[in-house]
Amino acid sequence: MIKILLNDLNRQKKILFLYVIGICVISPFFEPLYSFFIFSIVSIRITNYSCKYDDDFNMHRFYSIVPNKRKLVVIEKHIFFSMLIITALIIIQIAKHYFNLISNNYEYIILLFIALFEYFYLILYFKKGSIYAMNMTRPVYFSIFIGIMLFGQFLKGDSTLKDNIQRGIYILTDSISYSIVIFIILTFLSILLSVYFYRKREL
Amino acid sequence: MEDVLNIKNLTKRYNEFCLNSISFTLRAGRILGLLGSNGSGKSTIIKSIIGLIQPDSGEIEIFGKSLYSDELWIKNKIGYVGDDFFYPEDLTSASLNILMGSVYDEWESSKFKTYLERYNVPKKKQIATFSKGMKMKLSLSVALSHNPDLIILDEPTEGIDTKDRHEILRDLEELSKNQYKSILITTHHISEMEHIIDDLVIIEQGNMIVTIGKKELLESRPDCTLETIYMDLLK
Repeated sequence: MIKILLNDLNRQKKILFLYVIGICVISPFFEPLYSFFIFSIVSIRITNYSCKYDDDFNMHRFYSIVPNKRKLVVIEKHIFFSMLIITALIIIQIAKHYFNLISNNYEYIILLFIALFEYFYLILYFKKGSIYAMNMTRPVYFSIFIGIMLFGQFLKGDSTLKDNIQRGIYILTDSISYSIVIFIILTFLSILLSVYFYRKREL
Repeated sequence: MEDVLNIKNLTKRYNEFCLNSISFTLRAGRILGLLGSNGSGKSTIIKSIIGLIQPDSGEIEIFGKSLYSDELWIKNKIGYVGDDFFYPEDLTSASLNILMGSVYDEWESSKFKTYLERYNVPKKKQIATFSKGMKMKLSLSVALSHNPDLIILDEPTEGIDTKDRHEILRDLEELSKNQYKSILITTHHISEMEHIIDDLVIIEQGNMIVTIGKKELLESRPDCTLETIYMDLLK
């Protein structure tokens, strides 16, 4: 698995270098929430590009024929994504500390949302490939966006529900460890489902 | 003689195709030809053996074990050449040599270089620029360089010129006879494989027509070539 991960990192070394440099340069000048949001979107793009490369160049077949287990390919892709997003989070937290940037720790909520979106993509990707995952996730993401907008409008008229949601957000942001634990649980669930589907996939 | 590959009642259903209860055995040191026309199910059988697809039912035993019981050990013992190329195309043959050295337990770098020279495969050119025949020769070089006991070849001479094709077939025969390697080879060009195969399995439209030793089959009809008998069996 480490060999696959190193191969993946090596293949994308230029974009990864730019990614890290980009976070280091941008994070001192923006609110942590915004810079984390931007770089979590970039980390999704890099991971999805890596998935598409594996599909386009028949890498799944390569990994299946050489001495390797399918579940390791799944774990590698999850580690790859987690590494990117955690790197962004750590650099932004360091910048926040050194430059005294104002933040409500909302980036931890973003972490969970981004992880949820990307793991949904990865499960579908391991089930039927990158094109299928892309076609399936786009309408779902769009629906979620519309849903959030409508829900926001609905909340304006329901103060009790709004208070409850705000309280939930405060609990998550107050205790960073909650968010990290939920992130780890999401990662494990995604790995389990992806392995289940990937074992059945015809390569 | 021990069984290297044992397939029992292998079945796989698709919407418009069904592989029906295929059973055959490949013994150590033998070359088994899996013959059939296009779309007969040869590649489905091969992909089931190496775990690229999961059969609906049936048993596949490789060296007496199921693939999933000892996956890494079995995959180290199998050399595979598929109908399409699957090695990283952004590499050169030389860098593929290094990569495969870290992948297989018994990778022999010197043997790989020897095969590259013998089949005239460039070492420092990017694989993406290779012709189909060149990629096939590279796949074959990889498959033969990690000391596999079972070599599985899916249409291995497709796109390869006559001279290299004869050389490859001679190498396969030498591996089987002198080094006791077992070879499963699929083809629809019977005439060129006729000289090297020991046993044959003929399938058509997903059904097994016959599994028999070549010698036995030819003795049953001494006046005919293998190709003629094959054509008669298909009728």
